[in-house]
Amino acid sequence: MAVAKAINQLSNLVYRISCVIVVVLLAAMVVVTSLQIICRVFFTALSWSEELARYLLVWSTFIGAGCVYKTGGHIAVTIVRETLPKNAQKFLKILAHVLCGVFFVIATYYGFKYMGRQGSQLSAALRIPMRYIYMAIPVNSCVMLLHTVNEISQIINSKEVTAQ
Amino acid sequence: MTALLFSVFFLGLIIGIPIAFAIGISAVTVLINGDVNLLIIVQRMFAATDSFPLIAVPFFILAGDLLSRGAISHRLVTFADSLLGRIKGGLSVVSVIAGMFFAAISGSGAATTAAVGAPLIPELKKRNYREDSSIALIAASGCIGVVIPPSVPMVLYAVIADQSVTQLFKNGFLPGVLMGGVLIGVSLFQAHKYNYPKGIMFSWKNLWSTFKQSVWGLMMPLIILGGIFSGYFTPSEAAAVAVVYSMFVSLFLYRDLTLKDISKIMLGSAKTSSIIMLIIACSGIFGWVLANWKIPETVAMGILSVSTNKYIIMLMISIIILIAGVFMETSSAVILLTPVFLPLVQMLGINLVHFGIIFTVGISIGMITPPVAINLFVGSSITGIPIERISKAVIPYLVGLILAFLLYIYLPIFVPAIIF
Repeated sequence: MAVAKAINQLSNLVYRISCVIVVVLLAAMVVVTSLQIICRVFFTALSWSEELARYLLVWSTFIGAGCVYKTGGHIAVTIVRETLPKNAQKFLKILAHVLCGVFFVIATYYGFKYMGRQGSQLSAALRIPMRYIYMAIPVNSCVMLLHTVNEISQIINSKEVTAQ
Repeated sequence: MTALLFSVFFLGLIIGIPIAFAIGISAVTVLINGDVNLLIIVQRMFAATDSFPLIAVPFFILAGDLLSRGAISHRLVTFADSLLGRIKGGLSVVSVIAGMFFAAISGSGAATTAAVGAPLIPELKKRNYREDSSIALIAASGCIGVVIPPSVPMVLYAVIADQSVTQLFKNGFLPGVLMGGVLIGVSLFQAHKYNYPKGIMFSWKNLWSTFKQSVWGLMMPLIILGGIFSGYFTPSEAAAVAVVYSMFVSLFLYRDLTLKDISKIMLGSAKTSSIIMLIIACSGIFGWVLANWKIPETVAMGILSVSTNKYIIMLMISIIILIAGVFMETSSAVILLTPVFLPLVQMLGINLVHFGIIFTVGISIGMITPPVAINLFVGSSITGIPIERISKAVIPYLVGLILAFLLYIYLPIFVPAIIF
């Protein structure tokens, strides 16, 4: 139980931090893209703005995906599941989370491996090592894995409560 | 491999795995089965999201959310009312016109429904319009939100099919106006059936004062669409301009949103766009699997063995699109089905821009077909009317939109130069 509680707290903390970061990234995308227009019209065109905006999009996509996973907001077809009895529903929910968890493990493992292989390349305009961009995928897969484990433990614990 | 891919995908969907992960898991299963190095999944997920045109997705979503929450939408509706309120059932016409106008600012159907519905519903109630039919009409007009540019599904299609976003945008006006015209026709018929009242007397003075109040909103399509079509902005840049402009108007001119509201709205929009972008990322893997095992070609051959007539096949495709719209959310359907249909459409010699518009119109109708009907959900949450009642009331408008859809598909038979 103590472990479950710790996981839950960690998952909530990561969620709150991710929400702040994703808003900052979206704001940064707006600023960078606006700056690109202003500089092109009034001064000279920026060479790095488009690349930066793209990388911000990559990061915000995967961080945002983690936030949405936590709140259960990813689009899913739940009509079939909802027609089943309560216990079967619970089982399918856990199964769905486990399968997603497997996907996150694969994405995390190969994400870090990919970072190791291709990470030392420099980006075209900003000259930053690509590992910092690729990192978005394994790091946030890890975050989603945390949320998944938390969800599964919550479902199992709630079963114990109803059984008592 | 085709059977494995689709059976894992549908099985995943049925047990309730979110669509993005069902796509990812089914693709990874095939990759493991085919002994492909799994590093490809990271590479494809990255490549799929690393795209400048796609930046328009979060921006247009954010702009739509800002506008539908702020006072701009209220003032636009008031202006449309002072222009057209005089007609019998005029508020119904106002619903459609406001929806079309909003479509020229926002790129999503839900935002359009919310933006038009929130200010109009109290007014419609006050004038004794049938509430379920009115919100159904607003939801149906919301479909035009993704047809008249800017449009999120068109951006997605353009990126996947490697077409120009600007060209798709240019061709969205005709079907958008067509859909609006059909909806106005149906709504006027309903107005006579239910004997709706006439609105306020038309006066130039009133028109001028509501025009002045809504001028900041009215200028928006000029800036966004004018900027894109003159080549001054790329669509992504125009989307950023739309965000900055609507923030500026809400914060400093109308002063109806605080910075705190805006950061809250931004979180919501960031989440919405992440949902779409994650589906894009995962279908990057899916698309690679499709291409590697030549699955779309297999599908194309299967369909071509039934018939080789262009128009019959287009009818089959459009029925598939409509059915997909019943069960799937708009963006996911575009992302998932575009790569499957593309080789078939190319073999038939159909213009890919025209097909993109057909796809967008067809899938937009899916926003009012339950169970997955985002516009009806938005309408239900604004009015508190249960979704079942709105679903029933939407049927005449749905039939109208499907007719407009078929008309647009077969228009090239009569008017060959439909795409420019």
